[in-house]
Amino acid sequence: MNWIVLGEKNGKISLVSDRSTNGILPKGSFLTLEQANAKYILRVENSSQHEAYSPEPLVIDMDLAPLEADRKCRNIVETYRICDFNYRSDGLINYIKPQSKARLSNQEEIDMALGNLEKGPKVFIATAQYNQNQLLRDEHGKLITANLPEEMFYHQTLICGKTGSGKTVASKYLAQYFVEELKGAVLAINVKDIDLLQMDRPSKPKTEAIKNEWENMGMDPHGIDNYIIYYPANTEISMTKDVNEEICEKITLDVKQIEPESLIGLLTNISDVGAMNLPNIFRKWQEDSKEKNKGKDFTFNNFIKYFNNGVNDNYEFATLNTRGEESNIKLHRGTFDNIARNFDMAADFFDNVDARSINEQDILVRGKMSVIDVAGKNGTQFGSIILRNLLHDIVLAKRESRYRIPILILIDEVHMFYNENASFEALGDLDTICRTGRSQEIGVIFSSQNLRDIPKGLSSVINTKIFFKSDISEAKTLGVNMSQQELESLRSGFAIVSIHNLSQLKVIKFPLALCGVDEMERTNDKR
Amino acid sequence: MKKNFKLFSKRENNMILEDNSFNFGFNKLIIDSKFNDILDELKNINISLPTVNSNFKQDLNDITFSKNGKLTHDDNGINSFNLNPENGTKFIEKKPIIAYDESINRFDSLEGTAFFASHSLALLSSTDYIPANYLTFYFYTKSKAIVNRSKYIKYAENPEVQSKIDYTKDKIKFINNTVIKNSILLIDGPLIAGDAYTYFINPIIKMTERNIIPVFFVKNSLSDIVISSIESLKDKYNSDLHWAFKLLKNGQRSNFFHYTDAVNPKNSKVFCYIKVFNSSPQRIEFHSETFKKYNQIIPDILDMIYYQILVQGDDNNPQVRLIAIAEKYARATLKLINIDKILKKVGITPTLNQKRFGW
Repeated sequence: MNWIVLGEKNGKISLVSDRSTNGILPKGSFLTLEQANAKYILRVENSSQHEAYSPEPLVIDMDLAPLEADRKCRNIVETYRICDFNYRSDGLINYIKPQSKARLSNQEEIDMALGNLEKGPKVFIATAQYNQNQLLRDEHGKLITANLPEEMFYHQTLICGKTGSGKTVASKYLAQYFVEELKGAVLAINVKDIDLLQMDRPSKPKTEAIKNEWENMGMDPHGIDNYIIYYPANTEISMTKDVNEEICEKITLDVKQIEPESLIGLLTNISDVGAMNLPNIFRKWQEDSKEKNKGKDFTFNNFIKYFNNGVNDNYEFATLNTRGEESNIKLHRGTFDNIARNFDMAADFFDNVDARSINEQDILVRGKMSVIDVAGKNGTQFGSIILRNLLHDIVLAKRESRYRIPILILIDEVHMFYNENASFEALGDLDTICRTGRSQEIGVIFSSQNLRDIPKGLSSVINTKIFFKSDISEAKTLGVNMSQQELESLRSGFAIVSIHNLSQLKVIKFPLALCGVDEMERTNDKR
Repeated sequence: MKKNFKLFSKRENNMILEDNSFNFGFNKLIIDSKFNDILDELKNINISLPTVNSNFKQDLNDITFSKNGKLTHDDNGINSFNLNPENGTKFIEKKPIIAYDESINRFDSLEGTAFFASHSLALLSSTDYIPANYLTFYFYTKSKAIVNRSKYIKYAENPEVQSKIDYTKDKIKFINNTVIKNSILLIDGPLIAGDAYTYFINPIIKMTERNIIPVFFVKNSLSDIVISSIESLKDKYNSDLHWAFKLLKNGQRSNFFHYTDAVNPKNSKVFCYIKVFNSSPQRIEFHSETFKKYNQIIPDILDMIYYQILVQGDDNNPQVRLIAIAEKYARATLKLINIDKILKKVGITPTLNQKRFGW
């Protein structure tokens, strides 16, 4: 199979298939072109069939049998030259001459084009054309793979896609790599069902094809050894869904330890400015309680009583800001009522005697994956508070160099915890993490069905974007020329990507995660 | 000493070959062996004078019938016949069909005239159209001083006539060495035209002996031999094509006419007119020997031609698809060698004026 260079137009090299090529090269494929002492790798951006001898409609009307020669089709592809291997020293760039012959790239050439990454999560390079997704193969039919760069973890990642498109499976795959290969720690928030609650056990694939993919990559399914599920003490994890009870631990929020800023997670539908008053009110109460009560009656319920009593003080509260400055603030009646309402829901999460509170010491453990299950009743409020609290602890611990363990934070449905229009102040430590991830070795993977759910303040610091089956037009901004139809018909596991420091890669397929995916059970559930 | 200019220096698969062995065949582009030599000589002679803008134009279609010729028609008189495209498609499977066309570029300079010709054959195989091409290059001059200093630049009193003769010889060489036996050869242009055709008649007769059936196509002709030879048609039409257009409906052909040159009986042919779309008909010509030998299958061949014109479409320029493809390859191969660039390299581009024309 060969493709012959026609020429360049608008920065793209056009090629046409020769006689030996009997099909359309799908978008996302790679071609290698050798010319004198130079070699070029081209990535297919557009691909179409061209009929050299299309029939006159009259012939069709006459119902005449076609000549096979008149049905001949050629494949015309438009490609980007993504990598040149040449040895010029005069500062110029080689021409790619018309009629040069290109062939399918092999693994070695694609590795070179992708920077010869020896480490990193391995994925299949894939193609997408019309409604078909295929794994890329070389001329001998061997699957082509690529390593995603490990540093992408610390430049923040967004995973988007519809339900069932593969985003959770991809998150699991990346999390397991982080734990096992980077020897890092993972903190994940499970927001629904048992998405992230079975990662202690190997995946059970439904098809042989998945097993073949693993075999091709030299992988075996296995669970994560050091894996724990934390859940709010006032809720239950449904063990009927086959979650291992032995690795589950109840946790609570400790009013003595809680970082005041974390309470912002409780508040919805009030302005950022209004919300920012609560931490200062709480901080004042917390500090006073530490001194006055010395542990006695130092509970969240007492704080609620204190807060509700504000109605008698004309909604005026004493405050203490992070710099230790005391002041007074008068809340708007609406803000007061909103906060009071949310306190009622949150009270159950605090100060449970049969549970302990966790902090960064529980999370920042090398090779450990910690999942906080907030899928239960009012779990979002719990998740909002504990996530903020843990992020604060982690940022502090990292800043003070108390821990050198890399950490990956997996936040599914981030809009449930952070308002999409959240200000930098409201984003708090999450914003800090995203901006200092590289130096502190902290990575965040945001997972969502909709790109618009991501807080706007964060979108500029997310450097890796992975779009599974989706109807999101923003995916087009990744530099892949995909039709809406093609985006919507991506098969499970296939994704359009823009990877940090690996812009050459556009279409990939994640292998099935090695742990926590039971496809057999899913099939039974559907039945 | 100036370094010789070498345009084609190596074999690259079947795409470009030097013509040392004259190894013609399909799926090949043959470059004439003199191509590089002529370029070298032009460079060495250092032609660098301003150009003369030559408005060369010649329509050979108007001189395809001699005044000494005699025209007869079938006993059944002037008639029209329906063509059957379905029969034409079936016939395609019975014999190999090949088409010939050419593309020629002419450059005029004060020192002489350059002709680049691409001869093209296209074979209709069971699955594909397979080309064969032959590129030639000639430079003609009336300057004996230039000719005396060169080996390949040709002296010519009349470059047009000489180029046509050389072109015809090359065409014959190419066809004879490429076209396979027992095939049908569709050639764009008249069987008899101008002086150079005399080089062509004998090879055409020999082709018939090799069971090759050459068929010629004439468009845009102003000939009037039919309307001037048949009493009932006299003074009613502007040309034979005008008459044929009125006589024929879409999808019809006329009866056959037999033309013989009284002076040279070898110059005889049989022809009819064919009308596919509601536009100008075409004249289809056979040499008399060919017609005599294959008259049983000539109607099938005409059905096949009808299908080929139908499938190509384009009622503004009705053309047999296979010939259209041969023409495309001819133009593409001329483009392939990038004449402008070649002439620039040998130092004569600014001095030459290019003009494309066809015989």
